Order: sequence, then structure tokens, then C-alpha cells
Amino acid sequence: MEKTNEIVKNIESAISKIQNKEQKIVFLVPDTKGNAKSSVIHLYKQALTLKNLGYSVSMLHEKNDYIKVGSWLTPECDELEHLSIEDNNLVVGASDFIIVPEVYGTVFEQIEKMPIEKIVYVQSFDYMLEAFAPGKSWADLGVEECITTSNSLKTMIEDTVPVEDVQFIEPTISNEMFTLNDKPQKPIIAIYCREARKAAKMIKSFYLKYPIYRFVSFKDMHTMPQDTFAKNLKECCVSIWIDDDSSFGRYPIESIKCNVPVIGKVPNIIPEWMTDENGVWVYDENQIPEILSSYIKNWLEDTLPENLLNVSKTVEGKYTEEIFEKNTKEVYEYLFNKKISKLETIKENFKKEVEQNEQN
Amino acid sequence: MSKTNLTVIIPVHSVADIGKQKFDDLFDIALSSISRNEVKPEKVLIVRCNCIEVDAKLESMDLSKYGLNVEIIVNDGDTDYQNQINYAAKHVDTEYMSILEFDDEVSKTWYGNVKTHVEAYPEVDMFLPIVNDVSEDNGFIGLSNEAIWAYNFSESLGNVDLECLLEYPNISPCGMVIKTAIFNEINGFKQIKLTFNYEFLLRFHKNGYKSMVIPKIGYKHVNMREESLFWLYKNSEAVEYKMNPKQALFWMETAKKEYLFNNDRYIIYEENDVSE
Repeated sequence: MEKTNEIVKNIESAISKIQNKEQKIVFLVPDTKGNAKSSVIHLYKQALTLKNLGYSVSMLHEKNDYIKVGSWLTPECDELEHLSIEDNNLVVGASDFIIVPEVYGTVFEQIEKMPIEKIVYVQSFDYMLEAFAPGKSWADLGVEECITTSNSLKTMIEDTVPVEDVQFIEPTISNEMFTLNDKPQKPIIAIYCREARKAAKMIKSFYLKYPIYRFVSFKDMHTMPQDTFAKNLKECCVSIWIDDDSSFGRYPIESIKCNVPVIGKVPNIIPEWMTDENGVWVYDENQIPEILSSYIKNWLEDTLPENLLNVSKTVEGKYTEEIFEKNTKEVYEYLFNKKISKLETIKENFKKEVEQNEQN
Repeated sequence: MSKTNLTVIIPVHSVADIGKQKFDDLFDIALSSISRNEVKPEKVLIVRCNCIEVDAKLESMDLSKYGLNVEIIVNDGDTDYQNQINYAAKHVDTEYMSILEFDDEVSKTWYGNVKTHVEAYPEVDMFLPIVNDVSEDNGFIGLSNEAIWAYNFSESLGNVDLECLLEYPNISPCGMVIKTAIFNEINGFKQIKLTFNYEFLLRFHKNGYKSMVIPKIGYKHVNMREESLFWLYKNSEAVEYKMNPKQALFWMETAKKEYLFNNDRYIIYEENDVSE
């Protein structure tokens, strides 16, 4: 009887912690080694939002030599509590939550028995599948909650993985950093390809085919602190984007927000924001050099079509911090309330079971 | 820069041999190109020589149809290209001046681009366009000034500097937009044959002024129009235009020495000036 009371008390304590915002929210994050990474930006932004809402947030990383993101994202990210798996000092309970990116799907096997609420965060459908053993998913490991970045990705996940329901939080693009440039744009091409060799191929092909435009420089947009990245991006006259595995497309939206049109390859999952109005989208990346040469010619002669001059309008009012914060708050509050209901149900079921056992 | 502070100078110098129809057509091309611009210069200043033939040609043209503020002034002195520009510059009362050769064209967005760049870069004293060089029958020859935007070409992307000019003399001043006071302060163009443009650019930068290439094709320049100055250098048998490779080298070297002096020292060529 004493043990029963203790279990019930523990469940009630967990419920009370969640109700009082005393639960721990742990984000498992990969080490970017000091390089900007879109998926990590999204996780840190959520962590910061939750912290600002009064929750206790921790960033969990694998190794002790983890390089924090403050140098390339925002310094306030470094102020979040950081814990290392190597240190082995993470203590969690039934009231706590862990958010695990899809690439770390195998982690769920290791934490299957832990009482913590497990949430998988899917930003790439391909990476999600790569982390599964054939015929298995994290749903088989007791993971019931999933968050993703768009409605279309949510549908794809629901169609593939037997999860109860999937929430989505669209990433935010800073309205302060990604603005129109206060100076005229320059003949510089911003290029962002997931695979570096594709960027090199594109540049070589362009210069070989169109030597008249050898004076136009390319700027590889990888490995820059976010403020430098934004500053460099907004002074370019066009962006090139090749990323087959992208499911949201942070880079092109950042570019469009800066009113820098994008010439890009349509990724495997077509982003919801992608329209004829905000860029030139192709299925065959080999077409890009030719389109780029035509774009540069028209840019130099001021004869670009009107829609390409005002691409920023196509995402006006979208992906703002206000929307993101509201969305984050709603999704996590929903998950917290759901957890409370789950615990209440467990408590009631447990009580009933005990009563029945006593009667028997 | 608002509409009120740019004057476009159109020098009329070597036109005596151009037929009336061709003269009209060339002028029409130049003035129409300015007129097509949404942002227009405050004034178009035609500086002509005191010659009845030219006067008659200009008189017969309907300049009002272009919707521009056109003023014609007469230079009674020497009326070669450099003198015409220097003379006109002293009559410019706007902050900026530009030169449009009367057989060339500006793009329809050029003055708008100038306005945008002047506002964005007030510290810049001279703006140059990317020039589209064409033959007399409008065939594309190549671009000029675009290289200034090539990475590591000059010290700062888009800005011409002295070191870059000394290495790479092919910067075209066609269509340049310059602060009038600076042009006059450094005494405009010198009486140097062939390389007076180059010497001017060197001298401008040597005096610490800053220039920038607006990365837009803003100017269409007809290369080697028959009877044009550079055509005459290449083809004329007249003594004043005669130019052999030795002389060309001499004038190039002269430009590289004379830019150190703001005053025109009226250098003349003598056969023994060039060492073999």
C-alpha cells in the first residue's frame, strides 16, 4: 500500500511539475563544429523561445568538446544550459521531455526504458528514413510524439510512420537580419549547395560557357556567422541553391527575404513557399548555368521581369518571429497538456488496478 | 542626387565632314537615349564650335521634342574634344557632370542607377558605367570596365584605384559621372594625344579621389566611328592625327608621367623622345 501511494505521489508530482513549468525540456543537438546549420538554428530558436516563456531548457550534446553556436548564431544561445552525454549527469523524470532530431533516431533504443517523454524532431524526411532499421521506426520504441517543419512534411510522416499525431513548427527567418540591402546590389552570385562539389561544378561550368561574365564573382555561403552571412547575402544580385534533401529551404527563404531572387533546383520535397514569383526553379541542375547567364545579362541591362525585382513581397509577413513564437508555444503547450492527460490516465488506471487487486 | 544636379555635356567637335542627315541621326540617338530615362538630368549642355555649318545643322533640329532642358553654348577657342569638355565644364552649374559623345547612347536606366549610387555612396567622386562597345553597324565588340568587379582585380571590389589603373590602362571613361568641382579643380583633360582619357583617370586617382564602376551596362559606345577622333588617329593621313606605334607608346608613357602634374604642360612629341 505504501509503495502504491508513493507511485501515485510520483505521478502527481510529475503532473504538478508540468503544470508549474518545472519540467526539464532537453534538446539533443549535433555539434556543428562552428559552422552554421539550418536544422540546428531551428532547434536553438525553439529552445530560446521556451526559455523566454519560463521553461527550464537544456541543450544536450554528445561530447565534452562541443563547440557552442553563439559565435555564428546569437550569443544568447550560449547562455542556455548545455549538458554533455559524456559527463553522464543528466537526471530526468516522468515530467521531463527530450527532443531528438531524426538523424539521432537510434538514440531512442538507448533511452527506451527512461521515463522521460520522447519527441522526435523531423526536419529531413530522408534523414528520418536513414535512421530506421528496415520495417522499424521510433514508434516501435515508444515514441508517440513528433514535430516537423511544414504541413506537407507532416502529411508525409503521417503516411509513413504509425505515429499518433504530428505537430509542425515552421522555422523563423530573422526580420532584423534578412532585410533589403540599403545599398544597390552587386554583381556577386551567392551559392549554397549541400554538396560542395556541386557548387564547384556549377561555377566552373558557368565560367567556361560564359567567359564574358568571368568578372561576376561567386560567394560560397557556407561557414559564416549568421550576421556576416546575412550581410553578404543581401548585397548579391542572385542566389543559386541546390539541395535535393532540403524539406523546408531556409537558405532560399533568407535570400528571398533579402530580395535576392533564387535560381534553384526543385528539391525532392517541394517547399510550400516555392512559386513562379519568387525565383527560377528547375528540375535539371545542368540548366542552371544557362539560366544564370541570361539572368546576369538582364540584371546588367535592368531588363529583369518585374516579379524578380520584388521577390521579398512573396514572403512578406511569413516566417516571422512572432508567428514562430506563437506556434512554438502552442505546440509545446499541447504536448505538455497531452503528457498531463497521459499521466492522469496512468494514475487512474494504476489506482483501478490496485483497487481490483485489493478486492481480489 | 536629384534631377537637378547633373548636367550632360555633348561635345560637338569634329563634325564638319558629317552629312546633315547623319548628324541629325546621331544626335537623335544620343538625345533620345537620355530622354528615355525616367530619371532625367537637369540639363543637356551642347558645346559646339563657332562654325556656321554646325550652327546651321543644330538650328534646323527640333531639340524640344526630347523633353529635355537643352542648352547650346559656343566655344570660340580650340574645339578639339578636350577643349570642348573643359570649356563646357566651366559652364556647368550642377554638382555632377557627365559626357555623352553625340554618337553614343546611354541605357534607359542609366541616370536612375546613377541617382541610386550617388545616394548610396556619397563618398564616391566619379561613377563609371560598364560600357557596351559596338561597331558602327551596332555589332557587339565587348564590355569595358566590367573587370573592376572581378574579385581581386582592384583593391576594393567595384572601385578603380591608381595601382589597378597603372597595371590595366583599359578603363573607359565613357559616360563617366563626375563631381563638377573636382573636374575643374584638377583642370579637366590635358592636350595629350591618344591617352588623354587615361592620363585624366590617373590624375584623378592620384589626387585622392574615389571612383566606382556602377555594375550596370549604362553606356553604348560606338568604337571607331568614321571620322571620330580615334578613327582619325588610326586612319587619317593628316599630320595632326598621324600616329604610328612609336608615337602611341610615347603617349602611353607620357600619360604615366604627366598624371603627377595637375597643370597641362602641353607635351609635344618629337621623334627622339622614344628610346628603342
